[in-house]
Amino acid sequence: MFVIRMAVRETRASWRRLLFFFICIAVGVAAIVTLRSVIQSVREVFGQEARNLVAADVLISTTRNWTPEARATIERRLAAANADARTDTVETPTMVRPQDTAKTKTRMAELRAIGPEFPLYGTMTLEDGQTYRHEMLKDRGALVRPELLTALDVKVGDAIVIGQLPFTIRGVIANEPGRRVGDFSLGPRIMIDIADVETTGLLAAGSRVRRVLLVRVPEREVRPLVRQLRDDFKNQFVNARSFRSDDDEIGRDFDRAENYLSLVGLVIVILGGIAVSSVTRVFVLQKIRPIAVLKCVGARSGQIIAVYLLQVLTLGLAGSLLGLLLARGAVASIPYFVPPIDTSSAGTLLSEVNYGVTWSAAAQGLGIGALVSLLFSIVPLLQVRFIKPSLLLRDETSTAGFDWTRAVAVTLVGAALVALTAWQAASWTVGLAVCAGFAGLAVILVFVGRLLVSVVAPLSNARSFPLRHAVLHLSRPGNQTRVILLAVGLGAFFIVGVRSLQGSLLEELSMQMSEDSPDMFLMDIQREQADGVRAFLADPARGAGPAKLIPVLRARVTGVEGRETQLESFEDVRARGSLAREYTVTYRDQLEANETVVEGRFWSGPATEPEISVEQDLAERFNLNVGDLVRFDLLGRTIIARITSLREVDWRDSRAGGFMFVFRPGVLDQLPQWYIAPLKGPPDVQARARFQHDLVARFGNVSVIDFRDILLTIRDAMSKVTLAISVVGALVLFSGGLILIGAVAMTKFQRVYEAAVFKTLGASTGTIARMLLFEYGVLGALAGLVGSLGAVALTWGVSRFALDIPWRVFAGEHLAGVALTAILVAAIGVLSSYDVLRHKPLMTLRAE
Amino acid sequence: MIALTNVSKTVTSGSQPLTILHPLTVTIPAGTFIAVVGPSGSGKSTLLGLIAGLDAPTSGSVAIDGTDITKLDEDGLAKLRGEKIGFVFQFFHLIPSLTALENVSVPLEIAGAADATDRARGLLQEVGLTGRAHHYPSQLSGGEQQRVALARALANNPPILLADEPTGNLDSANGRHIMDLLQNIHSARRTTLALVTHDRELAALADARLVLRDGHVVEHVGVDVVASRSVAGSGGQAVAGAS
Amino acid sequence: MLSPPVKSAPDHRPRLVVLGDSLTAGLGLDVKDAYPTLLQQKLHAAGIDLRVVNAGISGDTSAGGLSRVDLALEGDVRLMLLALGGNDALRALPVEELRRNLSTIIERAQARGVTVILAGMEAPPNFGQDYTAAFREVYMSLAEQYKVPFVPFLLHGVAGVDRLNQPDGIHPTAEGARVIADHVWPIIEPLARVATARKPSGARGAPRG
Repeated sequence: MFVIRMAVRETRASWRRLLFFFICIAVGVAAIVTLRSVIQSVREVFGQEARNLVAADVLISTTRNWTPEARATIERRLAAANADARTDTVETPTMVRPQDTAKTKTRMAELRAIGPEFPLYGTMTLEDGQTYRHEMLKDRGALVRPELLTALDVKVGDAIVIGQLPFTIRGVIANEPGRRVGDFSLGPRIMIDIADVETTGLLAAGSRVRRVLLVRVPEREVRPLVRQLRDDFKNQFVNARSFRSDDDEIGRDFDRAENYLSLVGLVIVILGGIAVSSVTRVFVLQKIRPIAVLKCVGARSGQIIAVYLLQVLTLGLAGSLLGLLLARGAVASIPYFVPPIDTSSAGTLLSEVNYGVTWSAAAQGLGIGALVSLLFSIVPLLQVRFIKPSLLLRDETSTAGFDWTRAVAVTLVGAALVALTAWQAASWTVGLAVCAGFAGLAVILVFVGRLLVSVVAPLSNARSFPLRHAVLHLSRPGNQTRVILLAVGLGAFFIVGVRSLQGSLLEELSMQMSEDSPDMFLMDIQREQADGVRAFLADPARGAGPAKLIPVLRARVTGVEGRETQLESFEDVRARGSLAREYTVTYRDQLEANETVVEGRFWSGPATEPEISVEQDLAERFNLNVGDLVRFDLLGRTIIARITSLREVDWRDSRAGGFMFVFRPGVLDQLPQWYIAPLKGPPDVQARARFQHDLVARFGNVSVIDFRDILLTIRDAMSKVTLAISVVGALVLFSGGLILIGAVAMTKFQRVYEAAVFKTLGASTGTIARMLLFEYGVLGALAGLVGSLGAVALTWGVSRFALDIPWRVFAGEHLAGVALTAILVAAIGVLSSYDVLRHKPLMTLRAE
Repeated sequence: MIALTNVSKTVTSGSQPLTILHPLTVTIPAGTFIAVVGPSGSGKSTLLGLIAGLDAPTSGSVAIDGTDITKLDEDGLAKLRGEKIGFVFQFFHLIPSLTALENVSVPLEIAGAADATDRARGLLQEVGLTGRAHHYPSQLSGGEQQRVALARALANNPPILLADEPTGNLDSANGRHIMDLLQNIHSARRTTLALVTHDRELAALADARLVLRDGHVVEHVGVDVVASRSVAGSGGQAVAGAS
Repeated sequence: MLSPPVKSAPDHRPRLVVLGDSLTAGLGLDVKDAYPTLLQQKLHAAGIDLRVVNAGISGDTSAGGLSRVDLALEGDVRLMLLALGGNDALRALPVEELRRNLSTIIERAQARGVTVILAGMEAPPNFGQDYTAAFREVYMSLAEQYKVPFVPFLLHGVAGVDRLNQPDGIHPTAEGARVIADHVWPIIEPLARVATARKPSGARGAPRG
């Protein structure tokens, strides 16, 4: 009762002074909630998109006929998983031709037979404003892709022969859910009714048919169902997968972005926490007398601490609520900042992202806001216990010995912070690393503070009064040097660190989002076709981007003789697992842009002695070193090559193809080989279809894999993630700045009195201002420097261990960080003492 | 009843130990109005602090109604102060963030009184400040602040009231008002009242008197004291074990 | 020591080259379980001193086979089992291209004095009867035209039998590979005996590539 009433009264009385506290928490929580909401919304839509792409939650497929046993098992599992919809489809490639025998064309097409429930997600859209209804397929109707019309020279209403039977084209497919994007495609899609597929005679023994059962289940059942089915059909020809493939690059990018954003959110909150801590410390200092009075009238320390904790908690929650409001505003304003990307075809897939604050993000934000408020205020509040009521009788400062309670509290709070960090970063390693870095930096800053004091000590004989006194201030016991160094140093550390990481991550994402990255892949170009294909691709009328034909060969490793690895026979190699697989190898005379030699030297020019360069991870995995000999079986020939270099390959930028083994030219040149070519196809959909059609018409055995649609979808999602990262970066800068200001301004309470005394002793306003400028400037520069150096370590660690991206150093960010910190701290130091400088000293002295 | 046995207080100032209060044994019966008199630095506030348990003696024991308070921990002392002791300071020491009424109700709330606000209102009435209940300390005059402090000291109806130069920071009219209130309270409630003052005139109002100088009792009237009586460090017949 | 280094210590035994695709390379299998290895074992057991060279490359089409036939035939090659076309079938490449590639391969081998054994492939029925029939006809007419020993369907008795195929339904299991070897052996054996009795062919050292 007392605690609650007292907390209410104290809040009423001191909310203005704690406003800063309130804002710190609000900004931190706003950041967390905003970024979590954005990433969750985008992820949600992306998940929805992934569902649309496969038209189901779970796909259960087989390349055989369904056996009754398999179906029975599936039915049982589906019932257990509360599947509420399912539909069978049958897919097979087949040859089609016009029924009109005057047209002698035939074309390979991808036939898909669907039931009335198809699709379970997404909608099938048709050209010419037609709306898809399953009835269109009744009585041997067919829907086809526009490419087929061109290829067969037919139009809607004409009949085509599929298998033994004629089907009437009833419409043209614009967009089809459940198309396997990025998959190897033999030809344009044809959709028919599943009831008709058996009659075509195409499904005989030996047919290449994929039967897919599309299932809709509640979200939480997706993973367990897939796992269960995989377990059920471990050794059978039934495969189950969910709409999201866990190991794809998009998933990794999302994880990377979300981990990064979580870390940043945490950083903001920790910055807020530092602010909370310094506010609480000053608050307790200012409350010494009222606390002594409370003790004098019978309040126990525990009760008083409870009063202030309750107050902090209330403010923390209120700040968090304000943060939620801020987040709502920020999230709601996002659509105004996101320009619609590439309105053609798949580019608008994510346009329906519903930007709102998600419940889980809001709950997390509130929880973290309150928790951090508590954690960071409890240690300073423990000081309450040492306030002796006797100070009401005479002035005295209490000195306490080693305080076990405080030590325990610090330990507990530290552990809680580690847990919190780990939770937010979704990794114990990261949580520990971040906290260890934090603690390490704090220790360094304290050390640097001591060092600074002894280094500048000689300057206390300086002639300049302001300089002399600035130095004296720095080295006087019980001053604010340590506090400022700590708070500002950590603040600078986080801001510079986050901005560098942001730069690094954005560069990483933009590399993947690059407009020039290939969206089409040509395979199996025969040697004698190479010149023809080159000429075809170079024809500006085709509209394709520049392409390079890469020669490839297939090789098996059949032996290794090296320092660490000795594999005499192929059996030995096989014992090493995947080393025995068939590798696609190439030869060339230069490194690609995404490669760096990490050991040895890359050759120049051809040689007759076989040499290879090995991808670093593979080399590590199988203990291959420079100088080792590797025996390959290439088309029945044995080639023993010496490893002369190890390469690091940036797989995310593998537009030139990533190769485990690259040979030195000279040995493989004359061996049978073929070419692959990644390229950027024509951007226009029609031109693209024509391009593929013409290419395959001229070079029949060349396969084309088109993954433009999936690329566009990824790009769209990534641009949103990029925006979120930038917004959050700005938030960090803002909240960091705020916290720097706060931390410095907090020391004002100590400065004010001194400044006033100086003034009564005759120091001019200018002199005091210069004195403050020196003092704070030195502190700021030093804190900025240490923080900035710490940030270099931070970016290295986080890039390498948390985000899995190459480490980049942004020197400009770091230098600017140091300079800006110094300027900012000096400016705040002077400005926050502005009232002292301006007003009559007596007012300050009296108020004190 | 307040019983001090061999109580002394030594503090270390710099490297020099400084004895603020030399060993003293004194018993103050319940209901006594005792004045503790002496110049600045004579140890009279220290004595008061020791009685209130605000300070711990270097040696000896302090018993309030038979309880040795030197054996109590901080929380035990706080409880004791809440129940048994009211304190009035020279500088009022009201909590600036609370109104007059709230300042008075705080001890009641700490003690867990259900009708804290009503009782606080009654106490304010008793000191003549009904109209000022919702003012903050900064809006009150010195005399008014001290009356609020007095009301606060009375909140839990303590058997012992300790006043440390309660008029020292007030003009004479206000000072007289406070003294009248203290005397009225003492006689109306049979409260033990210990008044620290350097004003001999005020001290004359008391039933008993204890005069201190440099930590020694140099004069006592109306109470039994066993102490080093010597003036100005002449050693003397210290009864207490320590010297 | 690893041996032999490239272009040295050649194996002087006469050779049987199997020019094929993943079925020959033994995709998904241990090389010792691929059918060419089994043929080697049968030859050895039968006392025929003929070295089997597995020139199977996964994913290779008849066009790919054509581009590497000269290299594959370097050395003392007596016999060639031509087992290509599976990938042409899976991708439904034009049958005329298949015919042209295979006939050129046969001609080049015969020009070197190598005895060619042609193994036929079937196109899967899902491509429609027109295509499967045309595909089958290519092998029959080539066997007829070049008078080569002919295995009408390499995967006879294996295709479509679940237990003999890997989960992809295309590639044989080790047991499936044994069926293939058993199926081909009766044709290989007499030819191998004749071939090893012969003097080395005189067409060595033809230009590569």
